[in-house]
Amino acid sequence: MKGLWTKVESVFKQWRPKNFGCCNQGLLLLRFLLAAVFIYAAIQKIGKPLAFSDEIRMYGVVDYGPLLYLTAIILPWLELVCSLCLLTGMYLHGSALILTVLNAIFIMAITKRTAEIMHAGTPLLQVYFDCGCGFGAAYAWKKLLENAVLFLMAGGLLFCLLHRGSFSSTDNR
Amino acid sequence: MKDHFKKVIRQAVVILFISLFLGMGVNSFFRNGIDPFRYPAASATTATEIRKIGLEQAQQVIAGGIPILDARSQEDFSEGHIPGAISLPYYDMGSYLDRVLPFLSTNQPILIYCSEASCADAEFLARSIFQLGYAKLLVFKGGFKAWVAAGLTIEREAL
Repeated sequence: MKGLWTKVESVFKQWRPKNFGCCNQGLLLLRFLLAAVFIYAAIQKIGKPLAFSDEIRMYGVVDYGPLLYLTAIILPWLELVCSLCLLTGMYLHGSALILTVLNAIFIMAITKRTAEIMHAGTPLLQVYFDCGCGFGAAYAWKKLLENAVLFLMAGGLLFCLLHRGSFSSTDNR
Repeated sequence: MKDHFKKVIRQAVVILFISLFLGMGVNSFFRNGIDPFRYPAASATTATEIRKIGLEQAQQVIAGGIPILDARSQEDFSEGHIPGAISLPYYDMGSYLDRVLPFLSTNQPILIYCSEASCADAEFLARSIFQLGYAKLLVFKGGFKAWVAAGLTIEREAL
């Protein structure tokens, strides 16, 4: 396990740019873009837990029950809190990690549902549904593309933050 | 590097807890909040069996004389309700069910409403009623707010 960790660490070190100073503005832009997207998405879902629970249920992963309703209640707040963290600079690393993981889950869920609809005979480019993301119904391929971009943005932000150096005073709370 | 990862995980856990408390806290104060631990054991087909209708369609079915259930609290019902409605508060369903069931028939459509378009109680009540064998359920999405906004008559006396 220790050997594996050393290998992972060496790969990260290899990719670490020598000077991150020039990237600060880029990181700031990345943070604000991600925050704007997730604040909008969260506001669309906060206060509508029942409707959101139905949208989550459509993925066929969680059925009616406490887990479904808790997810519908907490997920929009998680998105909002992470977005506010990105805006304020507090808990930056943690929020970037959560958004990366969330986007990975969204991509898997949308892929699963798309595959199910395609299995019923609909071609990929014509698969159209409301993913419950807060942006209304859209073509699945577009949603997958959007989520992939968001995943790369959040993952990229986390990667850059981890390799920028030590945690800043505002971030290390 | 390893310390960084530990800090990242710690931060993520803190954010998760903040979201949990905010979500549950706001949900408990929101009028259209839901109780995640008191849910109707709905079957997979329930959601598709329950039809959501708008104001115009609601007026038509009400004119046809179908039973109307008000899923709001008894206090809200007493302050005003759709004429002919029977109070069956979702969050106190057990206390009211015996009084209400004699008015309902499993073969007849039943209209259910709550306070407004985003409220959850009407749909939750519909899911619970569905489990009792009432399959023809209509949820008036606009709820009492849309009814009042349209300037339609209301009744004030309690059941």
